[in-house]
Formats: sequence, C-alpha cells, structure tokens
Amino acid sequence: MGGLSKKGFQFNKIATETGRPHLTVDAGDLLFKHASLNPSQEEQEKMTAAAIIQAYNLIGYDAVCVGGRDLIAGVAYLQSLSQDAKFIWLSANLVGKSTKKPLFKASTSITVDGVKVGVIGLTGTAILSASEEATVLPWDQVLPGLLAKVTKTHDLVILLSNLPAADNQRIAETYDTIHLIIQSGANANAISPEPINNTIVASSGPQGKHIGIMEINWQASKRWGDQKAEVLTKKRGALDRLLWQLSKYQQDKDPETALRNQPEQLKTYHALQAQEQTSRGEIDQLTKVLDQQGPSNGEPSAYNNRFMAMETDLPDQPDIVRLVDTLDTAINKLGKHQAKTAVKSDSPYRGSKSCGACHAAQLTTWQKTRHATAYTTLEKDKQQFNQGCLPCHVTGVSMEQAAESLAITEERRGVGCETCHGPGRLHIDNPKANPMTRKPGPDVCLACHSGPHDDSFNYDERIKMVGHH
Amino acid sequence: MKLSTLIIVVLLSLAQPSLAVESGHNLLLFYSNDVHGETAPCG
Repeated sequence: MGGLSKKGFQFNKIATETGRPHLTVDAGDLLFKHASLNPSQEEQEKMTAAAIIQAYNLIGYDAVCVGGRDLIAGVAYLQSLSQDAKFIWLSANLVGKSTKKPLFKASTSITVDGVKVGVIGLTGTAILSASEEATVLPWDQVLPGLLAKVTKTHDLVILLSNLPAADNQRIAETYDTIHLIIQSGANANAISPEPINNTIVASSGPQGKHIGIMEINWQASKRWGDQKAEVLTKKRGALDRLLWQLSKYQQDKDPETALRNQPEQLKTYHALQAQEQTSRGEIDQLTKVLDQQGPSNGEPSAYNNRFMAMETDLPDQPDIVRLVDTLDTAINKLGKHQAKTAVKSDSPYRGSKSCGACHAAQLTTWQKTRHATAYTTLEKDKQQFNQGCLPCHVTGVSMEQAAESLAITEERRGVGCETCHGPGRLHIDNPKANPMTRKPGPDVCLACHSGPHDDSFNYDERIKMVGHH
Repeated sequence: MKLSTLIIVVLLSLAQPSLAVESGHNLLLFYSNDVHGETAPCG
C-alpha cells in the first residue's frame, strides 16, 4: 500500500471531478525513512529525497513544512534541494543560530478561489549537528507575533506543524485564529479531524498509505459550525417540554399539598423538578460559553473530511511512475557498484540448504512458501541491490546492517530457515548443545511485516501459512 | 482625493482579507504527512 504515483493520480482525479479549486500541503517528515542517516545508505537516501521533491512538483504541492527528520542530511542540504522545489518549504522556527532569522519562509500566502489562505510551518524536534549554524526555537517564541500578522491579512489560516501532538493541542486551545492544523510526527496517525475550539486538527497518517481530502465551505464568519449552538437549541426545546409537564402539576394548587396522598406522582413531580434544575444549569453554562465566543457574524463554515487508502490496485500517475522507475534503476546501479567493495563478514548464518541435510521435509515445505522466493521477487523488479529493500529479502541481516546485505552469499538469498529460527552455525556443529528457536515470536515477523509493506499482518493467521512441523 | 490618500486606500484594501465582502467559498484541501521517504513499496 502507498506510493507517490497513486497519490498524484487521486489528487488530480478528485480535483477534476469536483471542479473545486484546491490547495495541496504536507506537514513534513517526507524525505527520509529513518530518524538518522545510515552512512552506508546516505547516497541512496539522498537520491530518494531528491526524487520525492520532483514527485511533489508533479503532484502540484503548494506548501510543505520542514520536519525535523527532513534535516538529517543537514540544513544546507535541504536548502540546496529546495531550490528544485516548485512548492514552498515552510518553517517559522528553524532559524540561524546567531541571526535568529528563519532559514526557510516562515509563512506563505495562497489565494484559492478568492480566499486568501495563510500557511505557516513549525518544525518539531530536529537532531542538528553541533556545527550547524541553525537551531529550532520553541514555537511560543515565534508563533504569537507571526500569527498576529498573518491573521490580519488572511481569510483562512493553516498551520503545518511538525510539533508533538500535545503542543498542537495547546496551540489550538490558545489561538482560535488558526483554523486548521495539519500535523506530522511519530504519533500522527490517520484519525478523524478533531475540533478544538475554532481549530480543526488533522493528520493523514504515516508512510503515504492514506491521503487526506477535506472539502471546505469557508464563510465570512471564519468560524467552523459550532455544535454547541445546536446542542443549546435542543436543550432549550427539552426544557420547554419539561416546563409544560410541570405546569400540568401546578395548574390548580400547590402540588406538594395536592399530591400528599399520591406518593408515586409526587415522586415523579420531584424528579421533573430536579431535571429542570439540571437542564437550566446546562443551558446557562452553554450560553456562557457561546457568549464568550462572541457573535458568529454570519453563516458558520463547514468541512467534510475523508481518508483514502492508497491500495496497490489503484491507478498511477504515469510521469511519477517513470520518475520512481528511474530512481529505482539508479539505486540498484549504485548498490551493484557498492556490492563490489562490500565486506563479507564472518557470519553465523549458514543458509537453508545446510538445514536441509537433517530437516529435509521442513526444507521442502519452506521451498513452497513465498519466503523462499523473496530474493527472486526483488530480482524481477531489478531491486536486488537496493539496501532499502534487501534486508527483508535475505537471511540474517537487520535494517541497521543493510550494507552487509549487498555482500550476501547465494545460500542466504531469500527469507530462509535461519530468519525465523536463528543463526545455525553452532547448531550444525553440535545440535544438542545448541538448540534452535522452534517457533518464532511475532517480533521476528514484524521486523519486516509492518509499516508500508504489510500493515495488516496477523501473526496467528500467517504463522499457519509457513508452519512445517 | 489626493494621490497619496488614494494610494493608502488601495494599499489598505489590498491588505484586507477578501472575505470581508464575500462568503461561501468551496475549497478542496489535499494533505499528507510523514511520508518517510516512501516512494513505493518494495517488490
């Protein structure tokens, strides 16, 4: 699931079908897989980052926030990459150490169908090397002043935030002139947009598996439709009905006296009285909240949000497919070149054929599984030298040791016996003294069957598919 | 009206949000986050 070409196709299709003017934004952390750069994969990751910027140009992004993870190759590197971007990179709080001036644009102004949209970017946690002439300022040092300016001259204000979710919540609670926060960061899953005062907080989830699509009807009130007003109307209606019921008891004389000999009816009358008090208290409280918000100044604005999963069978945007194919070819060529000098380590893994000497039946069963052909799948896609893919298609290499996968010998190609049961060298030498893991736990599988590659992995079901006891 | 006054009026009007006089705009917002270097899944 996922893919830039599918995302591009859908954005384009939906914009055409609805005929609505649109704005396309990203809240950051888009360029790199990991939170730090693995030296052996630096060149490959930089090639990918550059291609993502080209793909975003083709998709037609308008603005992107500088995420902390986008800076792992250095601020200067991102600044040089951004020269090729047709969209604006935003960060109001990534500033020069000495100058304290933003190193990217703090905000931008985009007019969509006559609506002036102000977009602000805020960078979250960034691991910057000590030599960097850059620092990330706390958001509360930059946002109030900037927001005052942006609010004055814009109809709709969007914050692209790479800050932690708790900070976004505080911002939403404090500034009702920010109408929308799109958030990125480790916990930014695809969740229904959450209204906080006059701010909607949304995120589409990680690794490009979903896209967020929000239809907005923006009104001069600059306020989202308030459910509190609707609730208040309903509560007032309920109170009217309650008062009508009570009036029936109070028609002739004091109900306390009239119902003295009818305890059940008196009990009901008391319950209605208690309900009236509760209802009046709730109405008073809601009225106070709405009064504090001030007059709505016309029609409220409205939105309709949905997420679309980028399933593998969705169509692709052809120019992005070509771009990604070119990137994959270049990465494979780079890996092939690196493989010539990759160091073969003294590995405790021996390959599945060695296991078959004693466990022939199990080897035969394994050979019928997709684990056995995991490497040839990569070969078919011409990605057998891609360090980003290889560790999950060979035996006994973790993502952290990806460079080692380039030097892997033929017997360890494919997801072999030792991937699940552990390295076999000692076991082969002395099986009784060195027993193998009989059944791997979920953590072994999840090292590969997770994230963008297999987010619906179910251990109990899948283990049956590869079982051979 | 003096030219300087006219310029100020024009500048002030440009600085104002456009919805002061209009309302009810239908927009579409496409958004994403945390793409994490994923161009497409591996084979």
